[in-house]
Amino acid sequence: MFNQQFKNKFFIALAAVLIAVSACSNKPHEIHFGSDECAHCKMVIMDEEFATQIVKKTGKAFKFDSIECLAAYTKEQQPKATDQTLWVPDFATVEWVNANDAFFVKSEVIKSPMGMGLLAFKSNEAANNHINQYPGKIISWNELTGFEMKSHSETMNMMKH
Amino acid sequence: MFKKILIITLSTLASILVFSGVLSAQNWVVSPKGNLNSVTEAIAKASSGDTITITEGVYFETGVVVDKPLTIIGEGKAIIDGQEDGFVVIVRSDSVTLKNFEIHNSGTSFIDDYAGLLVEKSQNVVLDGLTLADNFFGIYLSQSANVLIQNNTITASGLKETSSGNGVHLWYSKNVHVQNNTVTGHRDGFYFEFVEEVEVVNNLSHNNLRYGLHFMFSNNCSYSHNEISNNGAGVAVMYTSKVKIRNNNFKDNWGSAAYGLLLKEINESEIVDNNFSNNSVGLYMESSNRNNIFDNTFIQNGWAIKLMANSMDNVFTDNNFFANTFEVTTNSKQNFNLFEANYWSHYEGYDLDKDGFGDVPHRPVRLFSVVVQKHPQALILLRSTLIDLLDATEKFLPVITPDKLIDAKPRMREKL
Repeated sequence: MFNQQFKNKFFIALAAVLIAVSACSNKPHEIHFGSDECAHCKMVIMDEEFATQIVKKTGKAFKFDSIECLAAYTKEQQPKATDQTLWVPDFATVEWVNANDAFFVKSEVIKSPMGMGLLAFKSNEAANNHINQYPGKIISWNELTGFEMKSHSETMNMMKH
Repeated sequence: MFKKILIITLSTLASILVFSGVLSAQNWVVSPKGNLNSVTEAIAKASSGDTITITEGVYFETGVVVDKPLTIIGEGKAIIDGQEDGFVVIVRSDSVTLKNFEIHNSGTSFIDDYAGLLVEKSQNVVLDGLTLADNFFGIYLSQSANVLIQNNTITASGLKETSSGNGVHLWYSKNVHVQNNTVTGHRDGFYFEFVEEVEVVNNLSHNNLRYGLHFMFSNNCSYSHNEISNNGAGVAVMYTSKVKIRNNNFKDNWGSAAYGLLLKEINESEIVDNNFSNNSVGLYMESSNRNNIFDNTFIQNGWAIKLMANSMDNVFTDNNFFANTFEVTTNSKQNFNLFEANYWSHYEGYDLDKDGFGDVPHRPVRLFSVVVQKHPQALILLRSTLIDLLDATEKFLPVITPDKLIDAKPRMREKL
């Protein structure tokens, strides 16, 4: 079976990996779907294609269930943009994308956790592909942070009976 | 006189029209081995007002669209099986009644919310005694009104959160009665978004992956006599005003993010006569204002109430607190809420004037609960003598705990 030497090597390798991982402090953290809470709305985070996070320079992560909550949180806290990285998921591949490099879509048909249909894409092309298939429009991060969470009366007016 | 005769004649004519309509309504019988062996075909042949009876058997059909006013009734164990391909049954007409049959195996998708039963832009719909099994979403209402959802059993065996939709999902709908349903194994048992005037009575929601009940942006709804237990994260309700939550049973929701009932931005609502037992946190309140919380019972919760300091003008009266590890905890020294005439099993005061209320105020926030709120790891010291000593000292000389968060009139006996 495995000898002691192998075990030692394994642990050294493991330690090296851990150190390497912890050194890249602004990298996105793993989200535990079904148990992590959104730092803004308190809901349990469920969907990979919507979940977002802020990683501080210190390595601490604030996790959110949606782009809506990430935007509302940054707007409320107004922290210095330099000491943190905002991560959003590419809707098509669920890879993490830096929010500065992402392209956002406000979809009319896809239901995001907070109901505003906000999606992120890693490229302009991917975003355009999406809106060619599903009704929606491309919006900028600034437009997006300008949204308030929909008031109730506004949304009830949208009901078409 | 002439007018009277005219009215009588008209009403007779009207009733003849109505009755002839009823008499001409046909009944179509679908059976696996009969001439008519498909529900889709029966709907195509039927005209408005007809009844379709589905007899015992399994019908492999997907995207069955009910596009005219019909009554569809199952006889025996009649199952429509969608074979995991898209929607199974879709209602796109007013005045449809679906009764006593089963809908199985809708498709699953990241983009589309496939459901066993979708009701879209329809009014006056009755869904009664249906069994929905292993669908992505169970019953899904979208832009519909005046719907009765009752006596349905909705189950799913989704093992992962991402591959499971909600049991009863209401979206942009109005005036819906949801009663006597059982939901289990879905992502959220009941999920309501942008709905109004919904009554949820006597339902059972248990063992769902996330919330037993979840709603947002849904004013003027009422929830009573429901039992919501053993769900992944309990119940969370948010961004809503004027809700009535009465006589419900919130129990057995354990976990670091599990709550009997979590309120986030819930205003001007009533939380009355509910039972909160065996939850990590019984009632959690954040940014929730002007609510009345009375006649509730909190038994054996980790925290009976977690009240965040951004909640104001809430009134807690006539509640019973039995054997909770922490009765109330908060994250501030301030308190803008009222606690009065509650029964606290941790109360150690006396009643010399025999008026039934303790003569010294009760402080439901323990020193240690403030410590734990800031440093959750400290919880390991819960049963230590040192902590008991600190708690006792803090009771006489409050330094850290909010000195205004007191019940000035604690009951000596439980409120019956």
